[in-house]
Amino acid sequence: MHISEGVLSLPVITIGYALTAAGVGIGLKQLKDEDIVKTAVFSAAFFIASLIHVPLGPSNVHLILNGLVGLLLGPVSFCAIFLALLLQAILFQFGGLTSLGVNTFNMAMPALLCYVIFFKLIKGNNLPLVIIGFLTGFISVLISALLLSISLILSGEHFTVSAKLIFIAHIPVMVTDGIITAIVLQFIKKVKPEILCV
Amino acid sequence: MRLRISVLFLLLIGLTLTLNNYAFAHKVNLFCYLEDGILNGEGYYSGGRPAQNAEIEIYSLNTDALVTKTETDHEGKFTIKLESADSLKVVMNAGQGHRAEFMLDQETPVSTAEIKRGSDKTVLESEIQHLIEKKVKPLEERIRNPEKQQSAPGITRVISGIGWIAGIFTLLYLIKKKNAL
Repeated sequence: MHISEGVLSLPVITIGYALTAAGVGIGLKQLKDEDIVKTAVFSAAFFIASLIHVPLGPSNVHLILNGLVGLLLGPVSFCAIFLALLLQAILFQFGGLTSLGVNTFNMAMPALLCYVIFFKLIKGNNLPLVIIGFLTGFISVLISALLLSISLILSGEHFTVSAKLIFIAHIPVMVTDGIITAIVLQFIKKVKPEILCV
Repeated sequence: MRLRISVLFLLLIGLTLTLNNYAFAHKVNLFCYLEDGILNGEGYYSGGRPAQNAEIEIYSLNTDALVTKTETDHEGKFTIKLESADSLKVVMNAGQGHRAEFMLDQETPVSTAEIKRGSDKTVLESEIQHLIEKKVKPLEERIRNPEKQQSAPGITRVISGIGWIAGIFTLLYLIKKKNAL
C-alpha cells in the first residue's frame, strides 16, 4: 500500500505534500488535550497494523486499519497517520520520504470520509455496530486503493496495469480490514464505550 | 504535578528506546566475493539498506599497501577488476564513522592458459568448478547476509517506533499545555 521512493512524478509528490500539510494543520488545530493519548494509541495501532502481512501475489498487502483510526479520531487522524507513516518510512523503509505526502493523503482522506459517513450512524444507533465496523474497514481500504491507483496513473500511463493489479490485490484486504475493524469496534463498545460517543 | 512527572517519564522512555535503536540501526556491513579476477562487493546497513557512495579501499594483506580505490553505487554495490592475486583486505568507509572491513583469502587462481595446456579432463573439471561456483555464489551471499533476508522489521524497531509516537505526542501535549498557560 505504500508507494515507494522514485515512483511518483514531481507534481504528484507536490500535490500530495500540500494536501497532507493542510490535513495535518487542520488536525493539529482540532486536537484537544484530552484526545492526545487516544490519538497516540491509534497512531501506534496504525503503525503496527502494517506489519501484519497478507502475502498476495506480487504486491505485499498488509492490514491497514485506516478506517478504524478515522472513525475514532476524525480530522485528527491526519496527524496520527502522518506520524505513523513517517516512522514506517524511517524505521522500516516502507514507502519513502518523498512519497510520504501522497501516502498520508491516500490513507487519511478515506479515514476522514469514513468518519463523516459513519460516525453519525454510530451515534444514531441506526445500524448494528458490526455492520458499521465492517463497512468502515471495507470502504476505507477501497477508497485508499482507488487513490493509490489514481496517484500511480497520474505519475505515468504505464502504471495503469500495475494500478489495476493493486486494486484487485486489495479486495481481500478490504474484507479482512472490515472484519478486524468490526471486531475492534465491538471490543471497544464493551470495554470503553465512551470512546465511541465523544 | 503527578501527571506532568509521568508525562516526562514517558518521554524519557521513548527517547531512550529510540536512541538505543539508532546506534544499532547504523551498523554497516560489507560483503565481498571474487569471480574471475573481478571483485564484487556490497555494503549495507543493518536491515539491508544499501551503503551508497561509500568509499572502498582495497589493501594487500601481504604488503599492507593500498592496491586500489573505488566507490559503491546507489545500490551499495561495487565491482572492480584486480590485477594482483594477493589476499586482500577491503575497507569501506560510509561516512559519519561508519566503517566495515572484509578479509578476502584469495587462492592463487589457475590461469586459463594453464588449463588449455592440460588434458581435456582438467578443462572439464575446471569448467564444472566454474559452473558450480556460479550457482553457489548467490546462495553463499544469502547465508552470509541473514539480515538482508528479513522482510519484516526487527522487534527493536517496532518498539522504538512506538517509543517515538509516545515521545512526540507527549511533546505535543507539553507544548499545548505551555501555550495554554
